[in-house]
Amino acid sequence: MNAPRSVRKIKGRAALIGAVCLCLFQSIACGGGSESAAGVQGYVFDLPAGFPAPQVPADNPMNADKVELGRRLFYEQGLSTGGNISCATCHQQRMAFTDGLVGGVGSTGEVNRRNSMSLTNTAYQATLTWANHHLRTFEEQATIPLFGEFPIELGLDDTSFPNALAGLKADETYATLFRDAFPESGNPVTKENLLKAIGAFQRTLISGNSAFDRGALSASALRGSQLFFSERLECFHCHGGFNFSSSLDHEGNLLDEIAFHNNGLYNVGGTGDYPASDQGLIEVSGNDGDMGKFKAPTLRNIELTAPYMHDGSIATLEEIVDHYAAGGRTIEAPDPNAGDGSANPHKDVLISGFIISAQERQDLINFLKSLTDWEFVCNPALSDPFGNIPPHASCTP
Amino acid sequence: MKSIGVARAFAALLVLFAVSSCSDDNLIALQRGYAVQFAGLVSDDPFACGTYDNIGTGTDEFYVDDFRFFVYDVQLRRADNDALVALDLSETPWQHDGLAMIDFETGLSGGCNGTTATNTLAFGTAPEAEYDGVCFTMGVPFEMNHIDAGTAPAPLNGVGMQWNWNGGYKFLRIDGQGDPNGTPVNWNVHLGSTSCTPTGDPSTPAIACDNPNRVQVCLDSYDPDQNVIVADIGDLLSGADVSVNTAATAAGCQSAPDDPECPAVFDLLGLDHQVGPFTDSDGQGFFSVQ
Repeated sequence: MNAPRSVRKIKGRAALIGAVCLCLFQSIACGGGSESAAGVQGYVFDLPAGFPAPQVPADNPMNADKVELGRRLFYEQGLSTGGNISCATCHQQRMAFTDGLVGGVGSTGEVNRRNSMSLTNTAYQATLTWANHHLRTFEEQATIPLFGEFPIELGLDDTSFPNALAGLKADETYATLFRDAFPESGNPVTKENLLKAIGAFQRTLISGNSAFDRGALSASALRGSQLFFSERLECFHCHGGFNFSSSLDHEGNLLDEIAFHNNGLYNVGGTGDYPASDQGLIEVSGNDGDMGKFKAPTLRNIELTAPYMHDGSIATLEEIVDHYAAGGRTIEAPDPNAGDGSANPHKDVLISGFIISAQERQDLINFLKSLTDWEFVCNPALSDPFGNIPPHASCTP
Repeated sequence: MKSIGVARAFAALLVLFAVSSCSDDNLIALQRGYAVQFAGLVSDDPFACGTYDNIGTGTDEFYVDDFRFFVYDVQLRRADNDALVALDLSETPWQHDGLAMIDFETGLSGGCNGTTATNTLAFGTAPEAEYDGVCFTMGVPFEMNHIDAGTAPAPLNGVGMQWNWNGGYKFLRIDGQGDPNGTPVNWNVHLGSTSCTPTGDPSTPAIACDNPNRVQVCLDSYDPDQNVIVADIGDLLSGADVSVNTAATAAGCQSAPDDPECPAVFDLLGLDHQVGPFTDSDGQGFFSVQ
C-alpha cells in the first residue's frame, strides 16, 4: 500500500523532478486538461495552468485520505466549545472562504477585532494571518483559532479538546480516515495529526481558473487590467504575481517573499499611529517602522470577500478604489481615530494617490471581478459534507 | 496526567550512582534525587482560585483563576564552595530537557482555568551534598520557545501556555479580575518574549528577541530538603492598580513593550520595561524562600 522507500524519502524539488520523469511514463496519472505535480507518496495536486506546486512540509506529505479527513475536520462543529461553529463558519466556500462580516464571531459570541481572511490560495502565502511574520505553516496557525483565548474563536482548551478528540476516535468514519491518512501512526487520532489533516485540506484550496486566467476578459475588464498593472495605479506592486499578493511561497522559490505594507488607512491625530486596538505588525515585531503594516492578501475572488481591510472598515470595491486614489483615508473629527491617512509617515511609498475617471474606476472594478473563480467557489470537493453551510446560490448542483 | 506524590517521587529517584568525579582526591560522587518544591501564595495565603483582599496599590479585591509558570536551568548552590550544580531534571509529562512547568491552578472544579492536574515540583538528580542556595530561570529557553507548538512535547503541548499570536509561550500566566464585585476589570499577567525577529527560513525559528523577558532568580538560605520556594501573587502585584486597565491595551500586563500596566509588574520581576522603571528596586520580589 505504501509507496516504495525511494519515493517516500524524496523531498521537495527532487520530488517534482522525479515526478515529472514518472509522468512521462504514466500517461494516466498525468492525463486530463490541467498540468499536475506530484508530492511525495504519489499525491497529485490538480494545479491550474501555469501554477507552481505549493510548499508541502516534509513531515506532512499529502494523501487523498488526509485531505478528506481535513475537509471533514474543517467543517466539524464538534471542534468548538459550544458545538456551534467550525472553521468553515468564518471561512465559507460561497464567499471564497470568508464570512461577509466586519469581524468573525466566535463560539461564545466574541467578535474578532480582525476581518476573516479568505483562504483562497493560502497555500501560496509566505506568512499567515494579517500581520504576523512568525506564522509560516497551517499546522501552527490552526492552533490560534482552535485554542486562542483573546478572543475566543473555536474556544477549545486542555480539557475540552481531549474530549473532542475522544469523540472523533469513537466515530467510525473519523477513526477510519485517521487510520488511512496516517498509516504509520499506531494511535493516529492525535492533536498533531488533526492539525496536519486540516493543513493538508487547506493546501488544496487552490484557485486559478477565473475569467482572467482563461483570457476571457470583457473590453472593460481588459482596460481595467491595464490600469491595474500600470505605473499610474501601482496596484501590482503589492498585489502582483500569479496570486495577486506580495506574500509568496511555493515549492520552487528559493527565498520566500514576506512583505507587509502600510496603506494609509489611519493616522490618528497626525501621529502616524494606527488605532491602539490594532496596530499591525509592530505588535509582533516591536519595530517602529512596522506601525500599521499588514499583509497584502490575494485579490483573487475579491468580488466575494467584502468587507475589506484588516478590520473590515472598507465595505465596497468602489470605496477601495477611492481609498487608493486618495493615497490614503481621511477620517473626520470627532471620530477618536480622526486623521489624514494619506499623510501617514509609515505609509508605503508607492501609495501616492492617482487621478482616475469614473469610467476607469468601473473598468478597474470589472477587472477585479474577473478574478472570481466560480469553479473554485462551487467545487463540491471543497464543500461542507455535513450540509450546514450552503453553496453559493449560483452554483448549479 | 496524575500529580505524583512527593514521597513517591523521592522513592522513584532515590537511586545511588557510583560516578568517578574529576576532583583531585578522586572521591566517588554520589548522585541522589532532589525535588525543588514550589508553593503559590497570594499575600501569604496559600493559593487557590478565588477572591482575595487588598491586592495592589488600590488595595482592591482581586479574583484570580490561573497561576502557572515555567522554570529551567535549575541549579543548587553548594554550601562548602558556593559552586552552582545543575539539577538534572527527569523526563516526565511536566518536565522536558531541563524545563519544568509549575501549575497551581486546579481546573474548572477548583474555580480555575486550565486542567485539574497540578505540579509543584522540579525534580531530578544532583550530586549528594549540602546545599544552601538555589538559582533558576523563569521562562522557556530560547531554543524551545519558538518551536511549533502544535507538535511540541509535554509540557509544551498544553494550549493554555501557548502564545502563538506573538510567537513562543507564556512564561508566567496569572489570570484575574480586579475589583470583581465592583467594576470588574480583567487583569492578567502574561509574561513572554516580545519583539522577536524571524529568520526568514521557515525551518528555523526566530532569531533573538529584543525583549527576552526571562527572569533569573537566585535565592539564599535554601536547602532543598527543608525549604520551599514560594511565589506570591500579592507581592508581584503590590505596585500595580488592578482595578485599572488603560483603554485599548491588553488586560493587565501581557508584556507589550508600550503597555503602561507593565512597568509595575516588570519591576517586581527585576525586568526592564520600555515604558520605564517603576521604582529603583534591584532584583525580583516575586519568589522567596520559606
